[in-house]
Amino acid sequence: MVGKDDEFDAFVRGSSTRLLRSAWLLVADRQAAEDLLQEVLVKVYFAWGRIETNPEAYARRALVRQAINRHRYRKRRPESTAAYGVDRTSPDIADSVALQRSVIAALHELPPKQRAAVVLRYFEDLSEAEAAVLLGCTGGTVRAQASRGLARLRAVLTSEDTGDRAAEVVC
Amino acid sequence: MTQLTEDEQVRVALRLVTSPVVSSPDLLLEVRHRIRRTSVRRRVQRFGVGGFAIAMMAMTAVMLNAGVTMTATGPGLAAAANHVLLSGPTGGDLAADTGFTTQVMSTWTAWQQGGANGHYDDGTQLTEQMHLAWAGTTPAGDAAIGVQATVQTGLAVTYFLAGSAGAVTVQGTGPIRTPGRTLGGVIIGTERKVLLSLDVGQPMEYASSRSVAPDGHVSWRFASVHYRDGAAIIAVPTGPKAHEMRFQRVGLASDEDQVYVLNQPVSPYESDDRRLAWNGVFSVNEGLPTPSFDSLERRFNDALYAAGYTDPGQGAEMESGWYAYGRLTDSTEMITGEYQLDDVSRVFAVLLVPGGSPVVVFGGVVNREVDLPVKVRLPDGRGWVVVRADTTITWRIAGPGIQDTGVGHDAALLPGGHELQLRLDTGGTAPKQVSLPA
Repeated sequence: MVGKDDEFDAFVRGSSTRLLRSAWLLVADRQAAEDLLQEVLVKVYFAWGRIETNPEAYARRALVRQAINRHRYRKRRPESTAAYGVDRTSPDIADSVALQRSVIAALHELPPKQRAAVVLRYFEDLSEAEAAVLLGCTGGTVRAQASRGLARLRAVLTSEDTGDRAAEVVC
Repeated sequence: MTQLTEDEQVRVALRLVTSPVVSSPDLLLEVRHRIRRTSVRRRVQRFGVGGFAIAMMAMTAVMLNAGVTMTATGPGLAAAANHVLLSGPTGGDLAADTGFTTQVMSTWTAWQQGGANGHYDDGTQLTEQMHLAWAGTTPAGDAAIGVQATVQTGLAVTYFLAGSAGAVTVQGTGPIRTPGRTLGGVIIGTERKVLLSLDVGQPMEYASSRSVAPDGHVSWRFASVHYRDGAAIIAVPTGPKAHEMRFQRVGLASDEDQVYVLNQPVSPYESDDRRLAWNGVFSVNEGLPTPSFDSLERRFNDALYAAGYTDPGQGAEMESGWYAYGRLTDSTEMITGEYQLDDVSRVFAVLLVPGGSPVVVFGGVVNREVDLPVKVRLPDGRGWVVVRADTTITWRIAGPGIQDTGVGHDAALLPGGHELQLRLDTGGTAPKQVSLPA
């Protein structure tokens, strides 16, 4: 018989990388993302009995809310860790560090809800309605937030010419 | 070649930048560790090179704010480039020590040409030569502070320290992220007993410890920072117990601009879990629909934060695993829960009056050993909220004859103005009897 702990462990092993990537984009800081993910996973653990169907969806919702709340409680506190947030440990990243740096810097400058809207729409591929549920707002607000955030990201990607690089990768 | 739309390019770019990111093999271990000690939140940021903590200071700086913009070629850069911190004389008792200052500049050049390569990792681009704003003796060793213009944000500050072998190392560095912000100070040296701060023309204050009043209110006692010759050298309390300190601009209206540093490179917040081992939402009104757990958690924590019962920036906090919810007779919503900030967990009731500000009522420190761990007397004679999970709570007004009775499951809202007698039935052992005063 599989117990709660085994189920939870399997969930963490299977979902943590996906969740970490979302967290990283949501807070635009690698260390803070790892911290945030750990916080959320602890929360998921204690809520395990209350989660009826999809723990990853629950965790993702908690990530988004926690990322926004974290910023709200500390909104004037400089987030200097972004200056050190780029992961240089992986050789893959070394090749795209400029792109990573630009995108993360651009994300970091976005207000948290705008950033979350961009991540949910363009990374998680959620619909406006699904993102609205997660963000606790209307679909129109999601559209507006994502549009503003996207404009900012586009500007960065265009100026860095990284859009072409992104295109090359999938061609 | 496939032509991507701009939206698709952003999608691809987001995937591209995240694709090398994988979760640590130790993640599960870390999470398990956190679960065990249930010391959930680690909001401590560690900054800088080699794990040294840097305090970043948010200031509406008169000097630094003037004309600094986010553009590379606008007037802001010119204003920053002409800033007094970039052109004034070097302060400190080692300003004339050319051997040391040359060593500092060499360290900076090597650091820039190495990992930094003229940028911070967030893309902030440094420009021109660094100006040495201060060089002096500190209890941690000979130290220096350099200031440099950046393309994006105006100014960046770098802190240096000479080790016992004489080698100078970068202790921490950071850009001004938005107009009006600058690097406030850095803890230098491996013993972490010195906080070095550059004088940027703003009065600053410092607090070395936090206190929590018996009623749960959080406070810090600040003392002015005295700058001399361009910098302040602040003694950081040392000792076996790690703790957090605050550093902020004088006249701050709220704690939002506070920043904090640690006297040890480990989180001081690993308290034992003192919370009640309860889970879920308990209704005090039979048949009344209850909001979601997340909604109650958010409103409860927001109210505690606004009323000064929480401490943003703290290293750990433990939120309630349960909430009791209900409506008073005047439609006021009531949320009761607990919150652990330090070594004890405290119970609070939050009253949400329609159209009014939330009222937080302190309900005492949690004692898991007593029969009724949560009993909060509401203000203005509005009665009591009592909670005990997995328990049938029966009550009556004390006195001859049964005058009024009621029953609740897990939680109950009891009338005020009378001495009350409660019967707590867990279904297992013999029911407990508890009295509440009038």
